[in-house]
Amino acid sequence: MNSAAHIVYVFHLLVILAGGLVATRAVQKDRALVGLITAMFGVAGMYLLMNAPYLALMQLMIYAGAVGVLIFFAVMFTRPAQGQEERGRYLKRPLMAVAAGLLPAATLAAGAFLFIRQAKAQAPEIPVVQLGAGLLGRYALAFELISVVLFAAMAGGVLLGFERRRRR
Amino acid sequence: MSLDTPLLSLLLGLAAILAFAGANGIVLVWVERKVAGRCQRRPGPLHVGPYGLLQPLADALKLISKQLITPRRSDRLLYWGAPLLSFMPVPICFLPLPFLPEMATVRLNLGLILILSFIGLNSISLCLAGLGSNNKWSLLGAARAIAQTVSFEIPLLLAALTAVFMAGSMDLHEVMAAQGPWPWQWFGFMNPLALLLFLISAVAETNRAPFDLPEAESELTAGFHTEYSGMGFGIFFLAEYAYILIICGVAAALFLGGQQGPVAPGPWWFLAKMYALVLLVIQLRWTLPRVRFDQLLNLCWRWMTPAALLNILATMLVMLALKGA
Amino acid sequence: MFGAITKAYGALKSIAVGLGITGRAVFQEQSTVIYPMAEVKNLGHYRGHIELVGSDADPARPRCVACGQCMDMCPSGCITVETAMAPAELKTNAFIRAESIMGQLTPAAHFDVMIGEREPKRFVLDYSACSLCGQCVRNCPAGALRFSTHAYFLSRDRADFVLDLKERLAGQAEQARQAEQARQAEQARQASGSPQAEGGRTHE
Repeated sequence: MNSAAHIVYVFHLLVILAGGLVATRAVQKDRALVGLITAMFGVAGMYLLMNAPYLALMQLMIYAGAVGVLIFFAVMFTRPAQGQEERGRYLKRPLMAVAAGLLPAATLAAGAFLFIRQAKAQAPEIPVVQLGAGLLGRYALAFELISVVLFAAMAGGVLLGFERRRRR
Repeated sequence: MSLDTPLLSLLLGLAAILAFAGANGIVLVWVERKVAGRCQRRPGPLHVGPYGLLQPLADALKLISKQLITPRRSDRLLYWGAPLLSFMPVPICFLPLPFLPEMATVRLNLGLILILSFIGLNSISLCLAGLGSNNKWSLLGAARAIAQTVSFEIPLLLAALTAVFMAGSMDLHEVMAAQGPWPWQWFGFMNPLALLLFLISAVAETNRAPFDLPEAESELTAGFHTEYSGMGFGIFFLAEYAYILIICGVAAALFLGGQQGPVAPGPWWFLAKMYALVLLVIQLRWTLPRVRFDQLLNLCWRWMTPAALLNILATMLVMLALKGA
Repeated sequence: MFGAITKAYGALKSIAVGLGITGRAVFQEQSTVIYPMAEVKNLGHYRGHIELVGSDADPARPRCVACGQCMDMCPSGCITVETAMAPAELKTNAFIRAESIMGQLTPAAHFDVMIGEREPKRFVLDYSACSLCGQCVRNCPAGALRFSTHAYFLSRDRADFVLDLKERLAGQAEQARQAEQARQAEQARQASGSPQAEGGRTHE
């Protein structure tokens, strides 16, 4: 890894951190969403740095383009009255947020250091054909599991929506 | 300092693309107004310059010199971020378009995905404009834009994927090379349904009439850009024309053989096909009335998405059969 | 399935038909006229401000009998008529009935006016206040008012829209007289068929 790559890495890291900070700390929901999308751009940049352009573009298309926009849609119609936004106790929430962020990071880091150990100097770019074969062959189970999780989340969302409507 | 310096060539390339996008916007505005006039048996712009050719320049000067007004209770950051964000992806989207064989500044083997993923960012800028303006028309326009682009992205991608399957690559240059010089060797002729679906979704993605619901003048004054004055509106306008050009270029490369032509294949074929499609899109706007919102979503989910899925399935079966034979 | 295909086919066909119509319109003759360079020819349908109608005997003299009905009827109050006694030789013994249209429940009021007894000294229309409703034209017992075809009427000064209609009638009559004279002279020249006249025309 040369120094230019280091600089780019740090830049993307800062973008992700700044976006995440805005996403969690902004009072207005729409600004928080802009922060979230910025963080997604940073993640896409990280993928590019890892020589995975397909993944980077998919990150942009699906997360920034579609999911972000759908969240926008939700935000647009759930605007609380001015000053109604919830504000919790100041000390407890950042601590919990840090804990929530550290847990997956620590898990991932432990996994990476335990099982991979040796990082590659330059990752080879994997062609799309190989990606497709992998997703439908070796990693088919994981791939399908993710779609089941997504389906469960969607069904849960719909159910919750009906539940809330009935209570009113 | 030689011309080979990467930074210098990058800057020159960027300047060339921006100049092309800007000049193109100005010419297309003239073409649009002239076609609109002739379709309605009027002369169109006439007085500024020969055949009114300088009219868009005069309009651009007017837009530039106008005062930029920020509505009082708007969110300044989002409000002014939106037009910038709407134009930012334009230079990136121009990169993979196969203008010249040698001109591929970044020869990405994922050119198509690059264009489609960055065009999707346009809807974010519409959302920002709608939310930032603090205006009901803008908000409604943005809501419509989201429902529309998110829906029509599916048939658009599926139709583009059909051509990708037939060519076996996502690089627009290679898709182009996989087609022959004669029209019956183009993917659009072999698979007309895919071309049709792609064109309809492209018109919907770029928010053009008959799918111009996000800015429906007669219903929402100007939709998401109601509050924008001067160049704030001008940049949205420029970006819209740039996106029309880009998506027509993608259609020309994917389905109409790009630079392939019966005689003297070369970039002029690509340009001719691209501008023919742009003209078609412009004429469509002055031919068809705007669809209603439920008609729009019905068209997408009940007609185009199933048709695109069936089409991709049929294409795969035919390709398998051809491979087996 | 089959129904869906025929429906889609019908929709696409209608789009193609529409494109054909607009595509043909592009190459057809334009149906609009660009004003300062050309003018429309069907101004006969244009209903501009009101003007006086000349009498049969003398086109410069209005038919108006100065009954004042137009003044009374005008909802905008933009007509002013000043009366004077007409010259004695015009006086007839015929009367016309001036009727005011009243409400549905109120009876129509009417009075008789002697033709040629009085005439308007001045007939002024304030066009800037007129709403072109046409009540004056409709209620004129003598048929002395009509809508003009005065279409290209522009001014920066509001006072220019206060029109003396009697002067306008006199001007119109004078113009008509001159046009008639010119026409007669032309006819006479054509009838004599002199080669001089032909030559003169080619030199022009």
